[in-house]
Amino acid sequence: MMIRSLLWLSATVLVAGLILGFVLPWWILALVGAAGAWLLKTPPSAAWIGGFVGGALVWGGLAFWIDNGNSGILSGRIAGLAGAESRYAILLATAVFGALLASFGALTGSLARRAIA
Amino acid sequence: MKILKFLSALVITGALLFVLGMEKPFGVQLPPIGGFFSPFSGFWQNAESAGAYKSGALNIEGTTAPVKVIFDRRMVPHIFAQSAEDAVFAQGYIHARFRLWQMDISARATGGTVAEVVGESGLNNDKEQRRKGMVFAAEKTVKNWQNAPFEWGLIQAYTNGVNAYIDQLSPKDYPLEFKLLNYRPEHWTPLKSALFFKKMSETLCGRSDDIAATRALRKVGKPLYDFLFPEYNPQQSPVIPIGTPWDFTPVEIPPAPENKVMIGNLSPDFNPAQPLPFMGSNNWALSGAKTASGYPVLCSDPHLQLTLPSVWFEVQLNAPGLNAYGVSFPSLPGILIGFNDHVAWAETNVEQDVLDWYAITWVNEEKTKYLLDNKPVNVEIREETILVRGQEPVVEKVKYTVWGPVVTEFPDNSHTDLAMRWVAHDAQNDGVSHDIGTFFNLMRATNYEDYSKALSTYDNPAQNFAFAARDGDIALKVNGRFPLRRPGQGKFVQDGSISGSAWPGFIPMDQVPQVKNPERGFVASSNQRSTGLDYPYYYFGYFDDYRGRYINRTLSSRSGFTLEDMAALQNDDYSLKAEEGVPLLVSLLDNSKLSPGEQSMLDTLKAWDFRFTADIKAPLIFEEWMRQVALLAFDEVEETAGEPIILPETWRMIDLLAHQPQDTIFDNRSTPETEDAGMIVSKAFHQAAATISDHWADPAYTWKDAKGTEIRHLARLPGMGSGLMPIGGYRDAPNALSRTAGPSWRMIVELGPQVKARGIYPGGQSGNPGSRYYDNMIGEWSKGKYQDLIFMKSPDDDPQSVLFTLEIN
Repeated sequence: MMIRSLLWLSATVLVAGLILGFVLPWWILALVGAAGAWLLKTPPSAAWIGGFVGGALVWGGLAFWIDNGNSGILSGRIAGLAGAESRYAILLATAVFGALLASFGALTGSLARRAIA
Repeated sequence: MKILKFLSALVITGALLFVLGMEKPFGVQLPPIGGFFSPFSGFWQNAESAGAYKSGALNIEGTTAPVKVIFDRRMVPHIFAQSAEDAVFAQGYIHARFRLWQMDISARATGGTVAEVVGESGLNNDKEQRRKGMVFAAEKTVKNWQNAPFEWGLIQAYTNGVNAYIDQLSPKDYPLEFKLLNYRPEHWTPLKSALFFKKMSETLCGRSDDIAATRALRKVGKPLYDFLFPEYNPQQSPVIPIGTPWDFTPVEIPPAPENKVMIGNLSPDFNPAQPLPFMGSNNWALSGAKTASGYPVLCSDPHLQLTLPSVWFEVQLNAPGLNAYGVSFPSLPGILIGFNDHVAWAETNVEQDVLDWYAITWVNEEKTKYLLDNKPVNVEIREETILVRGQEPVVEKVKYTVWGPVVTEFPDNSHTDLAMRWVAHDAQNDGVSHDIGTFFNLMRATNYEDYSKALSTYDNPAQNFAFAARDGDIALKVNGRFPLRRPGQGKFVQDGSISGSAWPGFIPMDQVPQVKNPERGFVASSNQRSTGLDYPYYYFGYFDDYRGRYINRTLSSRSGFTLEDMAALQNDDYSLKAEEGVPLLVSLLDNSKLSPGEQSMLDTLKAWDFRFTADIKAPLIFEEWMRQVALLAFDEVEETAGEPIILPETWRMIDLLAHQPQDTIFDNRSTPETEDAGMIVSKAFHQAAATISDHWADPAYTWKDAKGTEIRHLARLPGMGSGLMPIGGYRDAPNALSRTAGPSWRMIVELGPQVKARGIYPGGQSGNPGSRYYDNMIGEWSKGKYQDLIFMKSPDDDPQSVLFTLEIN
């Protein structure tokens, strides 16, 4: 039950995050997480983890796809700029930022539902 | 409890959003992290995919007829338009598409609007640029364009093209650097193009040694000064061959009323930013008699600061009456160095001094009146408002005198205030083209007469324009607006309280040094002196002493030159300085007391072929030895902290070592004994050997490491440059590569029945660090290789080489 609601939330964040990400600013990912957990009534721990996975997939996945088409030229340069060891650190950071946005958004949404219900 | 949990989560999420959205998070110079990392809008959007360039029609307005742009495999646009205006509209659009941030930041750096986007850290630059009158000068240029209909049409079309690109950008499309610095592109204006011209003047003719020379004069007195700093190198091989007839009557210069040298209290703080020395260039043109093919050949090799994005952008412009190929500056319409079906042209910088300083004598305490010919004169105040991000604007009140802006002012009267007289501040405002128009006329030239006419109005920064035509003519004009000077005038800070201290006028444009079809069969320039002493006008400057002589010697040595020979000469690491310096130093050295390490250095030096190739060690000891000799020998002009002073030129040092080794100049005053050249050279050798001993012992450390060439990002962002480049070259060799400056565009053009051209520059057409066209030519450039330049006759000329096509309808 827990796993299933977690996966549902991840999938929702992934799909809605990808669609809305192209039209709205970066912080929409936190709202997507919150709205998803609220609507799906995801329990708090599942919301956090599900949001984390979904957010990581949205930002990390898109970044990975772009990076692949670019042969890693820019991520390598950004790594040099940031003093990072490798371009994979930049990909990882992107995924983590997305993950954090969606996970805390989802946790907030989940707890909001519980607080009001 | 549930409410509390929810509120905690809300606070954490809010804090996360707040932190990721912060401008300058925690005071660190970073963009807002969330937006920067978002793959939807941040830097990832600048990561170009291999299929990023697709043919299509652009939905933009601004041309009067359809324009077709063919991009070849190296991303060079070939613009086919129905008018010159439409062609430069497309050029502006394409410059912006590939180099928008470079254009923006160049205009800001020159015009003093950096603080507006980076905050207080840009304020010093901005104040200095405003005080130097850069905007004042650029505004005059714009006014001049407005009065010249042909130029104004071009500059407007170019501006509209740039803005057509900017207008269809959304924030996710902004160039990477805008995202990093977190600001948005502004509209382009003619003023920004004018600022780019002034930036070139600043780089190429913004040098002045007046203050450092005045300090030296104060320190050593006139006789020793003249001994140490003679103006004319008798070995010089000037741009215009000695003996070239001057068929004009020179202007008479009235005698000086009182040519007083100011030796006042010159500020130690006042060290106006100088363009880097060794910003040189080579060009030459051979007549058919000198080439293997029998056709004229022109070679271009401008040396500038090497950066990414690159300073140059290759382009072909085609319209009725116009078909030219070459390199352009993003910010300006047209082609600066290039060729067409009939002619080719190339510039090097003229290193004559055209910037002087005048000491101001204030009449009142507020410093609003200054003395001129015993009368008080009011300054004109120009208020410069500098916007500062995150702070109140700063207003800089710059005072203008009859000489120009008072660049430095000391409110406490502790130092002499100085005004700047600079030809780049002048505008002639006479309805003819002085810059952009010149280059368009060159692009459309078909013969020597067209070339000569095109140059007749060009004023600044002065350039050595080499020229070759398919009909067989070759020529070179030392072209620009040069002040008339009384002998010695302007070498030191002058008295600004006498109007007679002014330049008596300007050299008429038809009396500039020039030569057409010289007997020797070639013309060439490498920033050396323009003429021999037979030229009727006095001038001085900061001239090359080695590249020009070597290139003239090489080109004189034989005929039958092939294009491969030309490439080899452009890439030649041989230096006359070493050829003349090494045997002399070695002959003066007392080699009786050498350590084994010193012996190995000496042996290496003796076996050297005087080429500054990447993987050898000889240049390490040569460079350091020469430096130590100068320091020991010229202790008379030793620099005191914070007060720059001039040192004798290298040619003079070699000259004195060779011909006056017993002169008292070689006696170092800080030692009890009386040294001669031999003792100084020996002492310098021991000191140099000690200084470089660690590097000498490291077998991996060679000239490439000591030189440390690196092509850095324009804003010096780490990770965005080339990294250390393992290549040879030397500032006093034809391949004049130093740490950050060097050959910025190598071009070889053969003017046969079909024009044949090769070229390359160290960078790529795209200014985007996320593009494969950002630095794709660096590798070949560093190996001395060239690309065949594709010179199209029509849009369908060469389908094999087309990458994609854009149409503006």
